Amino acid sequence: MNDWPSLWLTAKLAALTTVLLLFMATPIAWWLATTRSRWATALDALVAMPLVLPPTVMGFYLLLFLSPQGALGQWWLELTGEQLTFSFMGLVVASIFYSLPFAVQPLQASFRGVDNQLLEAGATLGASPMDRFIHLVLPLSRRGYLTAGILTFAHTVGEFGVVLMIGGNIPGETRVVSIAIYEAVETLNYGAAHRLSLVLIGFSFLVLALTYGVNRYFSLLSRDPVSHD
Amino acid sequence: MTELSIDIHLRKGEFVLALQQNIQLQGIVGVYGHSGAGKSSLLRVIAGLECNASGTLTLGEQCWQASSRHHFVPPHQRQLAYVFQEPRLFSHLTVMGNLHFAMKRVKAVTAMPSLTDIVDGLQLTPLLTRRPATLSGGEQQRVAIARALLTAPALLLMDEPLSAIDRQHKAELIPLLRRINEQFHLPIIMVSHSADELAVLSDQLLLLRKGQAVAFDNTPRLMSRLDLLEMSSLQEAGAVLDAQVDHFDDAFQLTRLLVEGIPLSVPGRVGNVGARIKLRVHARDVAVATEKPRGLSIRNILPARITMIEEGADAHAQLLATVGQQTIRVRLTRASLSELSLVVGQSVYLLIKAASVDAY
Repeated sequence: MNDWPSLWLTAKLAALTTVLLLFMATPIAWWLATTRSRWATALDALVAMPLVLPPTVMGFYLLLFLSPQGALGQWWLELTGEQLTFSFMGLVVASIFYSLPFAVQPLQASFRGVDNQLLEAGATLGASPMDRFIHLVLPLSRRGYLTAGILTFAHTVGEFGVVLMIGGNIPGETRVVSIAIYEAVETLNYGAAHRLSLVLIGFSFLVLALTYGVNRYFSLLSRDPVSHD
Repeated sequence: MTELSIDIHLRKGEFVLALQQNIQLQGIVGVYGHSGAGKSSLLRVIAGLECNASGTLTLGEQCWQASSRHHFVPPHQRQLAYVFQEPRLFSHLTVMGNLHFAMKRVKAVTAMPSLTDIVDGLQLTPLLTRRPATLSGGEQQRVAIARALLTAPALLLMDEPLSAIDRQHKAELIPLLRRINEQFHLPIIMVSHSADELAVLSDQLLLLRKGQAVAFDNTPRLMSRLDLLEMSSLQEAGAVLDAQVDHFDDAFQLTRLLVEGIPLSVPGRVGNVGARIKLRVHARDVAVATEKPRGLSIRNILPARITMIEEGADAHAQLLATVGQQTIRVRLTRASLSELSLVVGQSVYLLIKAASVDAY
């Protein structure tokens, strides 16, 4: 059995989800970090839901939502002539919902950590709100973006339940590594299951080590010795 | 000359800033008051950083705020620059990056000294490639001042700009601020808790108390008012005199100054010959004589006329005496006052110890 299609598909899914999600999570996280609206608590809870819900619950409703009769699925069908369920793009949409908290939460924490005093200084130097966001908030939140990116990527790689429910097991289209392992075990192909599992174990270790390394590097950076001369 | 017209109301919890004041922006305007008087809040309102403030605010022809017609110019569109109490440098940029940030968003209202001029004037050349986190507090504040100046604003707001800066750099920075103020006609509003600093730096002084303007006048006149409680620390400290450097006495290491044409010596070399400088004379270091004394170690003797006498409830009294156009403050005991039978209008001699004069 060839492992490469499922590995490649997983990498493609995780990369695309990460890029799209970082863009989409930015305004949500910024709003949550800065608003005083009473709706913020509700949105906080909503964003965190995928952390506690069983993937089957999310998968079930996403299946209805993405199906040709569902709101998004119908629109997509009219737009592209293709079905969202049991397709790669369907997996991307599902992953965006499923990994939302892993992107929003680090960004939100990071935005909150940006010193408002610096933004005030930027304003008095003539920077508009958008200018301040692009040239002050974003670079000062590098660490949050790195953490959010790594966690989203890793979490999407580790997805299983939702993928199974809305993507099924179509080689080259929806058969990601976690599904491939499941199938290998079901068909008693323990060799393949071992190979793919070890790849995921190694990958997960690397990703976590990278995340902690990034955090350590940045906290060392901010503890620069102050020189007096 | 531009007028800044303020009619503002701001509530922050218990604190209320309620201010109606027109200020002719000439020279450096000092804002003084005890902590909690609303000095910083006033600057923030002018800059548009307090969105809860209501009222009107205009600078010359530009209306920055008129709450009655829901007009509010956001801070980034006001042609001002703000040096905060903290340096507030952008930590992800180098010193040069911070300066470029300002230059790219230049307000270009006034002609301004060039980058080289400002960098040299504030002695930033060796710091340009460094990150803000590696600078000392004073260095950071100098970068913040340079960054504000580089936007070429119509008005410069400074909140305690000199508090983090050491004595040596302060001595170089003060003339630079004066030069920028005069040469480029950039009005400066400067908040300080240091009466000393404002006495020598400001031309006009706004005194705040509990969120309200108590007095606004030119600095010497305001400082000579005995009815203002806040001025008591200034009065304790004394008066500021305009003087001109006359010559240096190398043999005795003294600088001879002229105050209203009358010679006065201070130790060491001060300023350059011909330069106009300000002198600070502490009230407690001035003595009064009714006749010109002889055989005294005090070398500085100025003829003066008493303009005001105020007796305190304690052992002390204060009097103001004018030398030409300038006022000197004297602190003495009520016993001396009565013994010498001093009265307003009387001609006296003021004895000033050379060592008690700070020159800026």
